[in-house]
Amino acid sequence: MSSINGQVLFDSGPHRFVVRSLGTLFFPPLSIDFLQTTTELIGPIELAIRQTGRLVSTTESGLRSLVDAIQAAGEARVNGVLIDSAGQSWSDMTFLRFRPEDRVDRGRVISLVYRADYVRLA
Amino acid sequence: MIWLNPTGVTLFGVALGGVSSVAVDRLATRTAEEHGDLGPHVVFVDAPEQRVTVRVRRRVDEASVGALAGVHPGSMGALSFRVAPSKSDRNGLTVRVTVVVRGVDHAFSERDGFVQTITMTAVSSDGAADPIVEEGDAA
Repeated sequence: MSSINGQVLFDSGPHRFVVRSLGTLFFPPLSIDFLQTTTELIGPIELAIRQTGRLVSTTESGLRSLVDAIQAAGEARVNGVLIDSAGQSWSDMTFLRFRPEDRVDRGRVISLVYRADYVRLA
Repeated sequence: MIWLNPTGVTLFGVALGGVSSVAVDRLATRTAEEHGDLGPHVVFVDAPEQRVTVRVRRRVDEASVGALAGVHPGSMGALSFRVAPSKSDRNGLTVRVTVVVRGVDHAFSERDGFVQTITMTAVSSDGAADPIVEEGDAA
């Protein structure tokens, strides 16, 4: 079971987590202008974790309720420990964005593919 | 699903004779499959987009060879027929479906003569309702 700050928002369906770029943000040579001949170091990259998955419900209203709860969490910028489905955790993560795919799938169940982003804000 | 020797087969208002079978194939044209983070296997599968294909197979003789002359790929209309467990028609069903023709093709064999196959896609009234409507006789 995954959660953010103790809130279980996405367990209606399968989902996965991946840590995005780690290390130092930099501009490679020539990316600013033709006089830039060396790599420009900007600073450490914020820890960002991307979640992809599918919300699943047996009813339209059930799916709507799931999305409403996620919208509320995103607008409130819920912050806390992010725990993924495998039990791995990251502290001080902020839930920033939920992006649904372009269609709701209506088959045996009603489901929606999405992407969610968490960032450890500086 | 396949119905053998249906009776009263009507396509676009034209009565079709010599129909040996009406077959209904159901296929998921898009599947939704998901994996989780705990292992390699699929943990969710659904079929949110499906296609129901109807194939009418009939023997063609000289009298009925031109029966579907005006039917072309893209033609839309009604297909209906009756099926029953015995020739008495007792406990029979009337099957109705709105179809769009995808193709009409012909084959010849010494055993069956000329056989015409009309391949159609069944159309749902609203996307949720099953396009194949079976109506049993009222008790």
